[in-house]
Amino acid sequence: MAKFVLKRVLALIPVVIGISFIIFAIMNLTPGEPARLILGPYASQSDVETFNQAMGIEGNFWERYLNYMKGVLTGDFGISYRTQNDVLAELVARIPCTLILATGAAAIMVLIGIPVGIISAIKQYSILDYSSMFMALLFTSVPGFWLGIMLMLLFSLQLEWLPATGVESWLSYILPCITLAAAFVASLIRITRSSMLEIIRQDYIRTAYAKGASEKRVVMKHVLRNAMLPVVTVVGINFAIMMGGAIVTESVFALPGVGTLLITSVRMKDIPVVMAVVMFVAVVIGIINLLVDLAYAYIDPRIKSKYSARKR
Amino acid sequence: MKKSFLIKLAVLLLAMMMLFTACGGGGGGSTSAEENHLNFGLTGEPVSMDPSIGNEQNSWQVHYQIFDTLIFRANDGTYEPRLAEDWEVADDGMELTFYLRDDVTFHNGEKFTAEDVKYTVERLLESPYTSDIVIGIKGAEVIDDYTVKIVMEHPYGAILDCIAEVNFSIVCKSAVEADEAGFARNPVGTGPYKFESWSTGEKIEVTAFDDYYRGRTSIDGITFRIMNDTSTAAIALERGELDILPRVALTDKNSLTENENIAWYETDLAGSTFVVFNYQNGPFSKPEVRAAVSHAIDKEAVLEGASEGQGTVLETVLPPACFGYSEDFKGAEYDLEKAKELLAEAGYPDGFTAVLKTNEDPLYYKPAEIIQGQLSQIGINLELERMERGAFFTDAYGGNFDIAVFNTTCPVPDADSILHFYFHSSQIEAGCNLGYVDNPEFDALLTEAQRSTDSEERLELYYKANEIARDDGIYVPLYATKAAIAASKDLKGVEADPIYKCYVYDFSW
Amino acid sequence: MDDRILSIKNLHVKYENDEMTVYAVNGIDLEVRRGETVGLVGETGAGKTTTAFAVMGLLPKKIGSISEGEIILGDIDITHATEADMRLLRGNKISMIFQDPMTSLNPLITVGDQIGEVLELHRKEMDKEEREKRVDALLELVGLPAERKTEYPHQFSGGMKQRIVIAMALACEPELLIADEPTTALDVTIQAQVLDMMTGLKAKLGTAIILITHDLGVVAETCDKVAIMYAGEIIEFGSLEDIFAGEKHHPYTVGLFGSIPSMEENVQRLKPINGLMPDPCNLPSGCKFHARCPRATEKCRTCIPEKFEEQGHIIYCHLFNENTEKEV
Repeated sequence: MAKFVLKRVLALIPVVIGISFIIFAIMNLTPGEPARLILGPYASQSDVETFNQAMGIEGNFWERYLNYMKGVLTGDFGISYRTQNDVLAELVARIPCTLILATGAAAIMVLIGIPVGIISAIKQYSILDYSSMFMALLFTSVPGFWLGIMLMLLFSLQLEWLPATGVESWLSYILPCITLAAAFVASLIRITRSSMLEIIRQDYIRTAYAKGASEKRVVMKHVLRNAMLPVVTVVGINFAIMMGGAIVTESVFALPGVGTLLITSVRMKDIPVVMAVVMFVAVVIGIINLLVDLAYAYIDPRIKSKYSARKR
Repeated sequence: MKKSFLIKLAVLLLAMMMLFTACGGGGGGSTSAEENHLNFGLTGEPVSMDPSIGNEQNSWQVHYQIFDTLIFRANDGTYEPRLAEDWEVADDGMELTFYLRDDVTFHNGEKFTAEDVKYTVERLLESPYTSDIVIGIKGAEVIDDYTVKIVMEHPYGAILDCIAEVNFSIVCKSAVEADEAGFARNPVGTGPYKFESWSTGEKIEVTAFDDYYRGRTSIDGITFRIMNDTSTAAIALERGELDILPRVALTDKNSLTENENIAWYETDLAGSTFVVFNYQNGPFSKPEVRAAVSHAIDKEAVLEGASEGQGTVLETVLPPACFGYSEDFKGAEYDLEKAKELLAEAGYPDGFTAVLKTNEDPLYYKPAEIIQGQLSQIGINLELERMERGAFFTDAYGGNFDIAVFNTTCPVPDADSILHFYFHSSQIEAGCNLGYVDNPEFDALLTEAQRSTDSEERLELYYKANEIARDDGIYVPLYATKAAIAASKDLKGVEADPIYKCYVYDFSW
Repeated sequence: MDDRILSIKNLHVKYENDEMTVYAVNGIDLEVRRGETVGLVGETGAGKTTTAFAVMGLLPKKIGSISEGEIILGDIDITHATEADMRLLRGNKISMIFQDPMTSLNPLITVGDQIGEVLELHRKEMDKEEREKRVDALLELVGLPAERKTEYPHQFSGGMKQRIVIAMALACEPELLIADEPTTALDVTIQAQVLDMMTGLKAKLGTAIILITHDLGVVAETCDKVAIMYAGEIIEFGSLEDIFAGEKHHPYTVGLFGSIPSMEENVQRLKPINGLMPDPCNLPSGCKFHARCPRATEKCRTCIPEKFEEQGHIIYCHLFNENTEKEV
């Protein structure tokens, strides 16, 4: 098992390198000089050259890429073109906020999505089922930006229950987490529901009933665990997306997270920061995928034996 | 299972809601006024606390509070002493001597001396971020501890404006030398507030500096809150999470002014929106074509459409806040017939097609769309190319366009900063002259005006230069929009400012 | 009277939704005595499984219903029992095992726990240790080593899985075991093993069995009595001798036996029964087999056959009740 984990972690490395190359290429080869964007309209050509020299934006593409990767291997992610600060320090400072946001949103997603999906499946075609499907559709369709502002207007401005911006206390995270979770709750409800429905049709569920088990027991003990496999995948994927892509939510609620860092850097072509953020997100997604696979093995003994079997 | 689970969940949610109401809404009960604190809204994260790097609005807002310049320029054009008690400008404009205060200390306790001024000047000369405020400066000389001389290579008419500009803030030499890179996150200045902390992406805290030489400030501390979204900022302001929001979106004017707790301060922006041409290649390289365009544009309509009428139509590219602005100057008249005649003269009786480049920022594409519509009336059919911001600027600065709408602001409120940088032929090589404008007569006037130290003379020269610009179609001016600040009604001392300058030292609750 | 475990009288079961109604079971009578194995034979769609579900109370709730008749288990009326009542019976007094062992077991739970679950449900007085011991005993009963109770279903072959299923079914020593085609999905050698085991257990425990199958060979091996179902009706019922060696038969039964490939004869083609079973939504009038019957008469088309009984051998066919005339 440990060997399996190690192999997966190592497999992550070429993926991250590949991604870094693609992003580096895109950022460097598309039009738009960082110098012009950062220095402003009054900078002369010599200013631009001074800047480029200081930031290491010289030499051809391959030289720059290799230099950059060399730095990365030693833990040096360079300095931000825009602020001249250490990129890694900037990124690390932003991670806690995004982590809290993603975790909170994931918790809401799970606490609402899974039970509603389960109930929908058990009471298929009932009013509960139809209304939860409707709500799911509604929340996927509503743009996060709009939802966030609406929630802010209602709960912060009108009712004055919650703060609108910033990260003063845990209260500040409630609206952003709800906003971020909204679209994902929908997908989780649907996948839980369909997974449950599929399991309910299985023969061994019939066996369980034939043994005299009550519906409650059948659902809790037999259906649920078997239905969890695809659900776990979706939870994992969604969490990874939240970690890397909560950009809109962070912007609307003025949260100092990774998303806002990414937006600012992309707009200003602050390449070192963009690279660091993207690689970070890639690593996060890779790790989460690994955790999901490990969870699979934990849930489903057939998969566990496949992994250990490889060892033998 | 489901029923009892649902019930438990409902109870939990209900309990949580009660907890919130119990905690109370807003900032935990007391207001900024009660705490004598200020929540200052920034529309983005500042780049740097180092005045030789931070050359944008968000950085400046913090710099205003924690640094001082040698002199201060009031909006009426007069200068007040700050770190310099007195100063002299040599007749030939080649030397400026500043007599410094001897009772100033930096936030770290060090004494402010002429060495710090010299050091600051040298950093500004080296930095690629601050070229626009060191025009003509050769260097600085320390005469004695409290006397410093700035030596020029050539006289510069706007030199005092530059020295008064916030990027010319004086930094503590010893602090910078100790840790240059760190200074950007941990600045040491002489201003009424001293820097406390910067929580990246979230906020910057500064507190009152007791030993400030002009007397301790009224408001005890400022929290600069970093917002990324104008709607969010507006809501935060209404909610009291912010007390003041410079650069509030003009589109929020109606909803915010409805709120009786909020005051709205606005004036003309020290900036300008104008049309530039590719002066050397393409259809607009012919002066008749450019003149035709200048007669075909209805500036009022552009202002109305692009900025909902909020702003002032301009007759030259200079906004009212800029020195060199003339009230009675008349730009090209709106005359479609004349425009068509001129086009025919140029050899395009049926008009022609060209590309109008713009980017995704409404500040750029809204006026562009209107111009496109207006010019089609005289037969110039423009294809609107909406580019990504970075790509747009690369093309603009590379002279790779036919016609474009451009925006600029002038932190140094002098005609030279716009006219010279954008339209003087010497700037072609430097890269700032977008359209590769090359008009020797125009150049000569600009250079003369730049080097003159006589205000009257300069005004005349700029007037003439603008006449040439109008007739040669070097640019077509459009409008200056409004600069607005929204703040809590209870905050006293707030004034509208063309460049959003906010000195919290002047505010009080 | 006393040793009648199950008594089904005039059972009608239908499946109904908004669009149509399926008449799956159309008036069957069946009795199972203690220790007896009754084979329920017929083609696919005859209504055998539906009958089994009706007895177990496992008809799909919204669609399936017993529209007429009654089912009595011992002294309990199943037709009017509540779900709670049925839960106490299932796995306890009556068990059912299903066709495909590969999918009948929960892949995520150990076999020991799955067998143990039946005990948890119905033998609450047993503590963990006692349960474990019983599980071990059950596994050994079906010929599997007790140590393997911590393994998962996928670690067993098809035949072994079916044994586990049987162990689960017999855990509480039910009075009646319904086995719905228990060996159809297994290959022939395993089939023989499992059947042997079942007959052995039956002898040991005295369980009555309803064995649903379409395989006459299996019937011959294991059953005491045989009921032949067609289109939701039992058209012939009798002892093993009656059915296999008797002289009188329903034409359908003749057809069934005739379709079995013979080991002796050398024929080119198999002899199927012509036609298909009637659409259960749209049952024909008169005798439901008349369309396919080589000996059908005009009467068969219009009149429902009466019961003919001779020493426990029952046949529903006009050929055997020429004396009576009955209109539909």
